[in-house]
Amino acid sequence: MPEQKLVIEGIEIGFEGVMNIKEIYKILDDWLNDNNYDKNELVNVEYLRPEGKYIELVLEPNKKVSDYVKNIIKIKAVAKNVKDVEIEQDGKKKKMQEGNLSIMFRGILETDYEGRWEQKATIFFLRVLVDKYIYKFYTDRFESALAKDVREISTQAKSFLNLYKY
Amino acid sequence: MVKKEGKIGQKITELRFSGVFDYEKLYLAMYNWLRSHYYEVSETYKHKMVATGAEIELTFKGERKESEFYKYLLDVETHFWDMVDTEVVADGKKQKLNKARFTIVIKMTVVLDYQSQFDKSGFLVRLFNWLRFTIMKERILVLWAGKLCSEAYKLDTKIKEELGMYTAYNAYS
Repeated sequence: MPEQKLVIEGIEIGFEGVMNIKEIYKILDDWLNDNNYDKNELVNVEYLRPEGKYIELVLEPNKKVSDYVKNIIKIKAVAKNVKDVEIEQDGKKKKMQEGNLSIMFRGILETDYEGRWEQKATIFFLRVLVDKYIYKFYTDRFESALAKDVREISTQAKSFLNLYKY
Repeated sequence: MVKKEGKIGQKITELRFSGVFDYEKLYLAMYNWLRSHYYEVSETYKHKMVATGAEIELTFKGERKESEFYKYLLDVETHFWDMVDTEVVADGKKQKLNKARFTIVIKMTVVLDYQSQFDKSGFLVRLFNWLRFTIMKERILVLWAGKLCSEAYKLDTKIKEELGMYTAYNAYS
């Protein structure tokens, strides 16, 4: 089994008010595509409830940075009590949504994702040594690059949400 | 005996939806999308009536041969619960729609050597695995699987559009 290391967590965005859910999704999707991540949309939920729509999105985009290391960004977005509203912007009517939104981001570095160092116990032991003493320099660089990616995508979403002033 | 590793597959997405929608339009959207992208479609359908409504399991299995060496499989598995007819007034007009909760799972698979040309001897199986994991690895994963993956996301977006979901967008289109 590949080894996973939690590199960054605790990045959470909370928003309450008028927003455009389609645009937020577009921003995340475009960022992932521009940065060569495979989207990997695990679950996409949309339930109609009396108090408004409940939307849940679980994404696990990943990018192979080498034959040995893979970046995984875990994104979980939940929107509650979502209702469609119409607002006027520059004299034009626009369809937006009102509700509570929270988005959580986590960055995970996966090593030996092809499971090549696990075929024999001695090779597995060797891998642990290599990981700890030789490859550590590279792993540290990959970790900081992943942390940067997670901060960047969360900042994109945050900046976009801050644009709304209604 | 060496095992041939000739399939690359993954679940693309799982949609869960509860609310009002047009079952006929959704069915046609999925079927027509597969047909318009040159997939041969086989369909399975199970229908069960219970007190709370109909329970339907509908599966489309799409298959498209890309060359003599590899083919694409794109499967859409749907499961509807508590499906009932409902009347909705939209834009001042009465419309007959459906109400249900359901899941739609999209799965993709690239099948290599579907004609089993490399199954004839142990040497050929080893040769196949060697080609698959060395010389052709990038081509298989990036070009062939990548193309099918983008198609699967386009189908996913089409389904979302049909359901009027907010997340009906994908960067590939």
